[in-house]
Amino acid sequence: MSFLKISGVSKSFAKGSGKVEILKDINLEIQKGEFVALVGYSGSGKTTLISLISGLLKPDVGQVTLNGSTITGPGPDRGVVFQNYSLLPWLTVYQNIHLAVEQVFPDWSAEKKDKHTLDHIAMVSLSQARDKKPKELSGGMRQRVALARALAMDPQLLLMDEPLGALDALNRAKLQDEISAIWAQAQKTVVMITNDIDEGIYLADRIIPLSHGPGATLGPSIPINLPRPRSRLTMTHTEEFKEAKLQVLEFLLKSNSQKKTSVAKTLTLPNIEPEDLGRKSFPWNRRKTPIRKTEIKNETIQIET
Amino acid sequence: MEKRFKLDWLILPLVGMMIITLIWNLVSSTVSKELPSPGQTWEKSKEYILKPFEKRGEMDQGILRFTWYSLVLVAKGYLLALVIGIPLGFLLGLSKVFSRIFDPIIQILRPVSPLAWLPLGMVIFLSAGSKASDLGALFTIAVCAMWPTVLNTAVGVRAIPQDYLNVARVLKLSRTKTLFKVLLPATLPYMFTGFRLSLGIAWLVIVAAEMLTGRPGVGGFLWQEYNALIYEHIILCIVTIGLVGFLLDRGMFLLESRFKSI
Repeated sequence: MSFLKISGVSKSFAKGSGKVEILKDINLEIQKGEFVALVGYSGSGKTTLISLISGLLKPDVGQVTLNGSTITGPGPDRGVVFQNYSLLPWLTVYQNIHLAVEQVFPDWSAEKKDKHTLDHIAMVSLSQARDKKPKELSGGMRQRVALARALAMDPQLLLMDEPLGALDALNRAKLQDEISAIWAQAQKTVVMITNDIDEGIYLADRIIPLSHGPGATLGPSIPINLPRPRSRLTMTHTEEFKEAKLQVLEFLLKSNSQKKTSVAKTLTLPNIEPEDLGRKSFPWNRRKTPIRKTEIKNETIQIET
Repeated sequence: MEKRFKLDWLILPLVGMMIITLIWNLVSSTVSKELPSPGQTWEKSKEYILKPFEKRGEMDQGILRFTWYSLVLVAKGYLLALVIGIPLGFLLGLSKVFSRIFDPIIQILRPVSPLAWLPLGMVIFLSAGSKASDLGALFTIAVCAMWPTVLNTAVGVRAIPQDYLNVARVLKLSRTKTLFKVLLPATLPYMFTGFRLSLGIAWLVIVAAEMLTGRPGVGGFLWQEYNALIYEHIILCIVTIGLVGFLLDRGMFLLESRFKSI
């Protein structure tokens, strides 16, 4: 039995009077200890998918199961690294992580909690900055704190929503290495969302493209069998890498060109209602013509092609 | 800002004060003979300023002693306003239904002048006998000063980024923990803006309340000296009220900017 199973999941959001289907019939199985990267265009519903796994959102159709039990709400067994760090700005690095530790392991002694917190700060090499507030840290450091917080919860599943999206290329590469090292050491199951195919191939066991929304679906899952530890320099020259990248790109480009053009027009119905002569005209009402019923109740229809 | 010369921060405001004093002197010597001149005012107020804590009689005390009375009452009313205002603000910010129910009432009550609340306050506490005027004043301060705190807190709660709430949900923080670890700290900067505005209003209200109830304090003293035809003291009171109000606002501003910096 697979560890995480997403079966037949669809999710729509209300938009105006209608609905927009973000995800359509998503099926995915992930084994324990696997590192899976989901790649897709921005706006294709990647964050929605991660929110569904974390339980912050509920699917309209289908279900997400972890270890065989259906996910109904968020919980600390699924650590989330949010796209915009989501650190509490009034707490220091230590306090941010300690809050999570305290919450997940309430039975531990104070020393054990303290040690666990410090260990995780050290893991992301931020011991120097343990008493700094998030605003005093650079983007890369903040993201490390967020990563440490998620790992300190000792989750069964680590979810990362474009964790490195806001970083510059150099910091990005550095943090990729760190994530890779931490993953090798902690052996967690990881689902990472990214818009960088190279990043996905470098880190993941399996890379899955997500087609362009609305109504995004998962593409074929492409296994990456490059040996670990991987080297950024030599990796890009291997046939394996080129092949994987090509497959992902092909799927993404194809899904983009097949994207339906949808036109939404708002039409006002023609004025065929009779004039409302029953309405009294008041002296302060300067208009000469009687009011038509359509003006009172403005009717519009939406047409989508 | 451009710095023109040394000590301009001190000299320029002094120049402004001198200009105002000159105009005041001019007006008192030409247009309105009843208006005491700056010299007269100092002469008559000297005793109250130089012995600021002396008590010669119920309505004849040093100016800082009067100020102290007023401040004590303001502090009580202000605390009452905060105690009621903060939870009310949180409820308004957190619950759409609650906000729909009470927002119209708040918008209607908010612009009512303290002068209108005071008689009602005294009526409410009529049974308290001699304490009625004090309790009435307290009620008035609380009712008038509450609104900025209520509204700013509500706005602050509504403005909490979804990210913080997501963190609370992922960590499965309990309701109380979410309130104290996430909602309250996230709202604090907004709340302090409310606190500052509320304190300003509380100080405005105290003068009006004292004038009407005649209790000892800066406002009560002002009104009594008007009736006793000692106009110099009216100016003394105005200057005192202004200075104290300014200091309170500065103090709150410093506190506020400390919390804003998070």
